[in-house]
Amino acid sequence: MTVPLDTLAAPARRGSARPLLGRLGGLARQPVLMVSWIIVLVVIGWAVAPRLFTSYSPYEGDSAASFAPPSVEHWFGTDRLGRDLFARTVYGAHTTLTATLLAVLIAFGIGTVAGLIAGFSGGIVDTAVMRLVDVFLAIPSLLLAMVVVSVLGYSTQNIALAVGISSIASFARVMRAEVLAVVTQDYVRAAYGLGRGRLGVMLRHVVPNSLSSVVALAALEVGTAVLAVASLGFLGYGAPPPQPEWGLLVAEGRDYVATHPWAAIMPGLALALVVVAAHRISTSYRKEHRR
Amino acid sequence: MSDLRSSIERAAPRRKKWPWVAGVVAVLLIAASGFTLTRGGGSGDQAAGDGEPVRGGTLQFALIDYQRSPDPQWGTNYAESLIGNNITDKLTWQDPDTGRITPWLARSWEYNKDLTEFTFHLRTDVTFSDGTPFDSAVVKANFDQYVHGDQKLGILPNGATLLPGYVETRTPDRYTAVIRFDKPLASFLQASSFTANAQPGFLSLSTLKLSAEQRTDPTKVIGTGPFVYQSWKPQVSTVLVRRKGYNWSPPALKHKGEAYLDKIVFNTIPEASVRTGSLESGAIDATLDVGTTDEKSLAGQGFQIIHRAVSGTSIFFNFNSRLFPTNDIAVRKAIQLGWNREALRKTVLTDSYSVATSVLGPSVFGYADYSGSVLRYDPEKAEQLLEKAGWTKGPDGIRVKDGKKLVVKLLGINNLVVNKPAYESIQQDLKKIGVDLQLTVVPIPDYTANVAKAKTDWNITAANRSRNDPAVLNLQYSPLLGNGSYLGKDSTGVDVDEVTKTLGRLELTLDPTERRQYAKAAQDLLLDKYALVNPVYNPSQVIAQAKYVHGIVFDAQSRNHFVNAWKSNGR
Repeated sequence: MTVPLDTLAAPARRGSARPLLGRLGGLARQPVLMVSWIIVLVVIGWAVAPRLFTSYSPYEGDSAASFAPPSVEHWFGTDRLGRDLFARTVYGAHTTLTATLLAVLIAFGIGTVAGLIAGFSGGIVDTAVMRLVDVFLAIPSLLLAMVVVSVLGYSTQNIALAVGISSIASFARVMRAEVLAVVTQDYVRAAYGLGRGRLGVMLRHVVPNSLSSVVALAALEVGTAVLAVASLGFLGYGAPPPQPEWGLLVAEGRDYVATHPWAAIMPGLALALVVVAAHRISTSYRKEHRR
Repeated sequence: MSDLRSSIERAAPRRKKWPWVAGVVAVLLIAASGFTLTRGGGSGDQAAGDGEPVRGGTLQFALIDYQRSPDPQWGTNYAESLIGNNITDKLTWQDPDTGRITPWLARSWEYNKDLTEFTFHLRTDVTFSDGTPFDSAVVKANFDQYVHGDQKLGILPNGATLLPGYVETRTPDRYTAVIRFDKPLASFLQASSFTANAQPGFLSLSTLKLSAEQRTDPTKVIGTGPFVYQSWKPQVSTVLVRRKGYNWSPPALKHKGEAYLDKIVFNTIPEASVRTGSLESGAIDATLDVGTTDEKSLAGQGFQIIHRAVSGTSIFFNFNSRLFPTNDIAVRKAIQLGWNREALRKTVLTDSYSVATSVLGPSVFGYADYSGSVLRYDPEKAEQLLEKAGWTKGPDGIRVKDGKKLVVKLLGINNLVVNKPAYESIQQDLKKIGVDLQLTVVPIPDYTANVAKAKTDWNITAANRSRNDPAVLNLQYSPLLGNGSYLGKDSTGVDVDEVTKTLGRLELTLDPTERRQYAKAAQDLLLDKYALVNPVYNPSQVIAQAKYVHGIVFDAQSRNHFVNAWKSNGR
C-alpha cells in the first residue's frame, strides 16, 4: 500500500499558520496579554528612541530640584543630583535591553546548536555535550555570571556575555529533548527513505520542527535575562556612573529608601513590569504551541 | 512519548529559575521594612538629661566598615582605628578643639632644639590587661616593631610613613623613654597622639611576639585601654568589655576610673538604610556613617546627630602629574575651576559637611582659605585655560588635543556615604567644559589593589588622610614620602626639588609663626603654583544616637572614644 507522499511531508511550522488578524482578535480577548505587549513595545520604544519619550537629559541635573517627588513635571521624581528619574529610566532601557537581547542571542545561538548536535548525533557526542551542560547547570547561574564578569572586567557588554553563557545550558537541554522527539517521527524516516542525506534531513526537517519550544523558551528567557542583567548592575558589575542602567538606578536609590522611596521604587517598578510582561507573553506562546 | 516530551519542556524553565531572584526580593524586602516598620519606633527610653553618668549597660553601635584584624597598629579603615582607640592608649592626647598636645600615658616631655630627640616621662601606675606593667621597655619594643615591622611574624612596618627617620628608643630608666630620629621631625609630638589608621597604640610585650595570624585571636591582643576584647567576628561584629582597674584616661577628658559602659558591640552594617532602620527600631543605640538624607528625618524623630569634621586633608583629587592628560597643568587647573561648589553643597552635602576651601581641613593648624582664588567655580576661565592649551571641543562635546580625547580616569573609595554622589556631581559639571571624568569608585580592598597601579593607570586618586597636623601635607605629597601626585624627573613644569623642600620645612620647626608660614607656602604650591590637587569636600564623621546615649567623644582625628560614654537607662 502506498501512502501519498504529501501526508508524510513535514507539517508546516506551527503557529505561523494562524493569520495575523486572528491573532490580534485573540489578543483583544486577553487584556492581560495585551497590556503585556503594550508594556514591552513601549519599553522597546524607550530603548530605540528615548528622545521621543522625554525631553529631560539623563545626565544633567538641576541642583535646585534635588529629590523632587514624582509630579507632573518629573513623573518618577528626581534623584539626589536633581536628574529626572523618568529620563534616566527611559535612557537606561537602552543599556538594559541591549544587554538582554545580546544575552538571549548568545544563549539561544550556542545552546540551540549544542542541543541540536547532541540530540542528532547521539552516542558519545551526546554524552559529552550533555555532561558539560550538566556541569553548567550545577553551578548557580549568578555565581557563574559573576565569575565571567570578574574575569572579563566590569561592563555592560560583559554582563550580557556572562548572562548569556550562564543560560546556554537550559537552551541546549530543551533543544536536545525536542530533537530526540522529532527524529523518531515518521516524516523524518520517510525523508531518509527518499534518499536525503543526514545534513539535509537535519536542516530541512529536524531544525524547523524542533525550534518552536526553544523560541518559547527564548521569550521566557528575555524576562529572566532582564532581571539577571539588572541584578548584576545592582551589584555594581555593570555600567560605570553616570550611565543609567536599571539595576544601577535601583542600587542608587536604595540608600534613600526611607526618606525618598521613589528613587528606588520607580525604576524597580519598571523593571518588574517588563519581567512580568515578558513572562506573560512567553506563557501565551507555550500555550499556543501545546494546542 | 508526548508525556515525556511535555514534561521535559515544562521542566526546563522551572529548573532554570535564577536562585537569586529570591535574593533580590529579599534585599528589596529588607529595604522596604526599613522604610515601613520603623516609623515611630526608636524613641526608646526618655533621656534622663545630662546629669550624673550611670554605670553599666551595653552599647550597640553600628558602622559601615569592619575590623579586618584586632591588631590596632595595623589598619586602613575607620572601624579598625576606632576600635583600636578603645583598647589601647597613646603617649599623648591632642585636644580636638585647640590642637594642643596634652598628657596621657606620658606625664610630661621635652625635646631638643633640632627636634630629633623627644624625651617622655611616663606614668608609673599603668598596667596592661594581663597585669604586666607599662614602662619604657614596652615603649621601645612597640616603636621598634611599629616602624620596622617584623618579617618573620608577618608584621608590616605600619608606622614607617608616620615616623620617617626613626633611629631608636633609648630607655635611660624604667619610666623615661627617649625617641630619636636622624632628621628633624617636628610632627612627632602629634604623631605620639595619633589615633587614626595604623596608630601607635601600645601593645603588651606578649602581644608583640605574636605573628599577624596569631593576632587574629582577639583575647591575645592585650592593650592598656579602657576596654578589652571579648570577641571578634570579621564582617559581623567586635565586642569589647570594660577593663577592670582602668584609671588613666587622658586628664583632658576629665574622666576618673573605669569606663561607664560594661560592654560595647560594634556591629558592621554595610547598608545605610539598614543602619538607619536598626536605629529607628531600637536594635542599636547609635550608629556612625549616617546616610546624609537620613540625618534630617532621624533628628526629627528625636535622635541626636553629633558630628565632627575629620582633621587632616580634605577629600582630595590627587592629580597624577606624569600621566596624560593630567600632566598638563591647564587640565589640572581647569578641573579645579570647573565644578560647581554651590550645587555640591545643596544636593549632596548636609550641614555636617562642608565644601573644601583648601587641601587642609579648617580645624588643622596652618589652614588657609582658597575659596575666593583657586578653589572657585569659574567655568568660563576653565574653558579659556583649556582652549589656550590647545584643547578644542570635539563633536561629542569632549575636548580633543592632537587626536587624543580629554578623558580623565578617577579611582575612588566608596567608604564614605557622600563620595559617590559628590564625584558624580563634579563629573556632571566637568562634562559641560568638555572634560570626560570617568569614575571607578570601589570598596577599600579593591582601591588598595588598584592604587598599586595608580602611577600608570589612574589620572586621579580620590581619598583623604586624617591627621591633625599640617605635616600631613609632607606625608601625603612629598616625593620622598607619599608622593600623592607621582612627581618625578619627567614631571613637566614642576620643580620637584622645590616641592620636596617646601613640604619638608613643615618638619623643621614647632614655632607657631614659622610653621604657619610654611604651611601656607605648602598649600600655595600644591593648590596654586603646580595645581597638584583638587580638594573636594571636608569629610565628617556623623553619629546618630538615641537620646539616652551620652558622652561619646570625638578626638582630634574625629575617632570616637567610649570611656566617657554612658546610657541613662544603664542597660
